[in-house]
Amino acid sequence: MRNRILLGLDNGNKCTKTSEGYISEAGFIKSNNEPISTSNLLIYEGKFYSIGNSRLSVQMDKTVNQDAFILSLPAIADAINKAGVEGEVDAILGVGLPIVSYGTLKKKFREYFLRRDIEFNFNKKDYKINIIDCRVYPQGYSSLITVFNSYRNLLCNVIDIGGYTIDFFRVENGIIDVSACYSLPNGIITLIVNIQQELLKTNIRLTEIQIQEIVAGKEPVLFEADIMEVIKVMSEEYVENILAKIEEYGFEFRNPSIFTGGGSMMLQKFIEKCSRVKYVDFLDQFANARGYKILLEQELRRCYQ
Amino acid sequence: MTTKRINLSFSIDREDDLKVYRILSEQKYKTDYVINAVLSYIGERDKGFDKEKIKEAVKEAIEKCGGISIENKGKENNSCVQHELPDNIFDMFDNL
Repeated sequence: MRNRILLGLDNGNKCTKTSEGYISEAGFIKSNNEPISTSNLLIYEGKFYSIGNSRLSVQMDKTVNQDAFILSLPAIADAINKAGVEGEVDAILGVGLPIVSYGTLKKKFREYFLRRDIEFNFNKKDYKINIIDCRVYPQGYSSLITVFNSYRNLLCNVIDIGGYTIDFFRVENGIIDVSACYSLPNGIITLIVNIQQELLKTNIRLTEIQIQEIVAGKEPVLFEADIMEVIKVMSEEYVENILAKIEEYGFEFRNPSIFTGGGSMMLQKFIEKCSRVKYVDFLDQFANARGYKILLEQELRRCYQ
Repeated sequence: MTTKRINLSFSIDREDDLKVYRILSEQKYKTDYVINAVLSYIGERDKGFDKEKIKEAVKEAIEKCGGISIENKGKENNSCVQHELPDNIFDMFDNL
């Protein structure tokens, strides 16, 4: 019997995450020659990729180049190692797209991943895999699937704050209200860039990760109070603005609001403090990937019944 | 010597809270009193502790929930979702 793994894989603009708990910054440095550091080094089709370095620019359609596929290989390697299987592996993937582009891109995205005889080396270990099937699910909604029983009989708002987009929609009795699905291009990356620009005015240069940590409340000791204050004020304004925008689209915050995506995790304390929202629930950054896997398992079971 | 402090708060609207608050207020050596109270409570509670009985009860609860999915082991909220998603969810994906 051939080895087989099922994997929920979330190809975010900011991070690649899996149902098995793998997370890596969605970026790499490509080179033709072996780099000095072999940490997180992927070798694929004769090229060297240092995974997790320098986040790539945002792509709405990830099928236009190999980037998302390259970033998926270490995630699959991680799942193979965690499953403890050796030799050639057949992988079945559950992946996702924002609801607004789901209809138009789902077929293309599925076909993008379907490949056989993929050979690569990651962290000095060889892998041979075939992606024998791939199912595409809507982002955000897949997150909700992990807590489906709590909201199956309610009307709720799902708000997915991702790296580049904020996707939000209503779910009534477990089913997406297709007339209320929206996407705004103001994901967490825009907040970080705006903070960087503001700090640059006073000649302060912070990296994305440093800002992320401060926003999330992991305050590094080396920064003075002024920097903290700028970041705090800008984060509060950002949360206020996006929630006001969502309200403009006719969303009622007296209904439960389920926040998902890495951006929501980062902004949790600001969202909780905001007086606009009444009942909030936060799902972690792996929730989409876990949801893809739950849906994948159930869909496959239905197919083979 | 390391000393740790814990603040407690009591809602005087609740009968139990009020009762405990009054008891603690009357104690001269509050820390000693709390240490003795907690240790004797734990001691009493553990007397009737039967590991095997608890294991059996947990097994029954897991079986009722449809068993454990090994692949999702350790991931919160997943195991009870299994087997329960209605068909119209998958129909919805086709129509989106």
